[in-house]
Amino acid sequence: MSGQVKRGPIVTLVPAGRSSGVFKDVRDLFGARELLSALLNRELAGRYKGSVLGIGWTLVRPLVILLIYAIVLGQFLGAARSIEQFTIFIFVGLLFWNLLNDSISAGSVALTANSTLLKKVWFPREILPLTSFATAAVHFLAQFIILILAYIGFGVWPNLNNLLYLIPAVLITFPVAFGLGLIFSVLNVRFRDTQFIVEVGLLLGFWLSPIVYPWTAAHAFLASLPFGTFWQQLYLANPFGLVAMAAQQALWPPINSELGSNYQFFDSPFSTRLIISIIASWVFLFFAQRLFARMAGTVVVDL
Amino acid sequence: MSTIVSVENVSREFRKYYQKTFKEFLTDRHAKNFNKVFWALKDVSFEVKDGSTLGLLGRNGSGKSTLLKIISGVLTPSNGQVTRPVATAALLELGAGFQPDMTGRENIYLNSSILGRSKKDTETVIDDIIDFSGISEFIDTPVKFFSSGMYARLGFSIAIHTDPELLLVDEVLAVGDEPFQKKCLDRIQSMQKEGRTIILVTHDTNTVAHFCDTAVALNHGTVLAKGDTTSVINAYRALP
Repeated sequence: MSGQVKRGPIVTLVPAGRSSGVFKDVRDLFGARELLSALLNRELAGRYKGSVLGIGWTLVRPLVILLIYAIVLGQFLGAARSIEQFTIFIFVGLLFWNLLNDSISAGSVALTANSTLLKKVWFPREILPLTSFATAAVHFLAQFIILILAYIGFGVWPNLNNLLYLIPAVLITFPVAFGLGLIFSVLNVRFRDTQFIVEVGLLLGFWLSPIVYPWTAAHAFLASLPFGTFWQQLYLANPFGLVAMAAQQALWPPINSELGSNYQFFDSPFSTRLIISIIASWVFLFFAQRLFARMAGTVVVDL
Repeated sequence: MSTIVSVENVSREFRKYYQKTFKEFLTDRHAKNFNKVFWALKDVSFEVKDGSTLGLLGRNGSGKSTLLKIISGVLTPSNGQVTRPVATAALLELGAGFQPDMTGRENIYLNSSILGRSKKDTETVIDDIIDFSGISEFIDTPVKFFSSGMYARLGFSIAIHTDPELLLVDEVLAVGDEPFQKKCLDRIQSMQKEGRTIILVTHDTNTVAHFCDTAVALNHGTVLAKGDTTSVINAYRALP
């Protein structure tokens, strides 16, 4: 009777929270890479189906935001007079911020938006926030190409040695963006307040990081407050602030000029603050995955 | 024949009351509503032999769909455990995860990957999938223009072509018109012949008598009877 059907591996399903370990989950995730690429394709191609500009729409929003900041802050408020190549200055920070922002805001609704799928088919649940992150990463690469075009357009180039600062910037942004996406996706199923808290949090996070202003401006202001050093240190403890500063050091060409060097922060690509932040980010991602694995087994009921 | 699926002491609780907002969570944490639980399944155990077909009988609310979801992995058990082959296809909800703006063909690839198939494997059977669904004419049309029958046909066709070792069927045999229903039944029978294991959820005793080797009857979340189909059907019919 049997024999025609190949016998494959067996799986044991146990109560949520008692399951697996991070290695098993990563292996499951790797096993589902075809699904990831199919879902990524759905996000990238499917979403813009039937629109003339197609995937080009993903670049419109960040470029409009860039234009607004460059004109309003740069020209109206005069920031461009004290910061050379102001447009590129804010673009490099926005580049990394957009990755974080897109991954988190899409990630926080990744489970709720796919409730029909989650209720009916089993697959590694991490795939959904991971798809949000991967989509954001693809947009990140597309914007990076725009940056290169901007270099060509303005006829400037960053210092090649400085490009090493990209490594810590990426090593902090990636785990934080994916980790926060994981946490908020699963919390949003339990508490629908989450997505609104996330919106406000992202707004705060944006202005608490030196993206459209140099870190020295915040530093000078905080020094004037009572307990100034405390506020300064608190401000500099923001990992994304460090990412923005590292991005400027890597990608903003005037950083080594006489005027631009005022905005330098790190003495080496692997200075202590960056290394601590890298380690903290990956430890954070580990705990984010554990929390996700604990909660994901039960959230389906809440969808 | 060896055991291929084993359900061991599976229980599943649901909270009767669920708070949705953070405020309610903080204020109602210790309220009595929060602690009210309902056991949809209590201590359910049975085994399915390799290559056999098991009928899961039960009335509405007996817990059979919950059990099927636990076997498929969509729900986790509260207690106990389930062992089953990785290659399991569930005909629970057909066309779950179809993307309205994508064409039927694109959705075949997407849906197959959700069900755990690689793109290469799908390519080898895509013609069979389209052929079986009987909607080859519209396969390059976005599925949002499909009728619900076409939707279900395509979903069914994708699910049965994933080469499963274990097939979970939840009364979806009422899909499409009569010729298509017959085609589905024929297909399920040929899958039985191929030695695939099937768990069939139904409340129709005739289906069990006709299709199944063994059966389990559930009543209010507990096992009422299990074993050969005749005795299980008799026990099920004897229910008040």
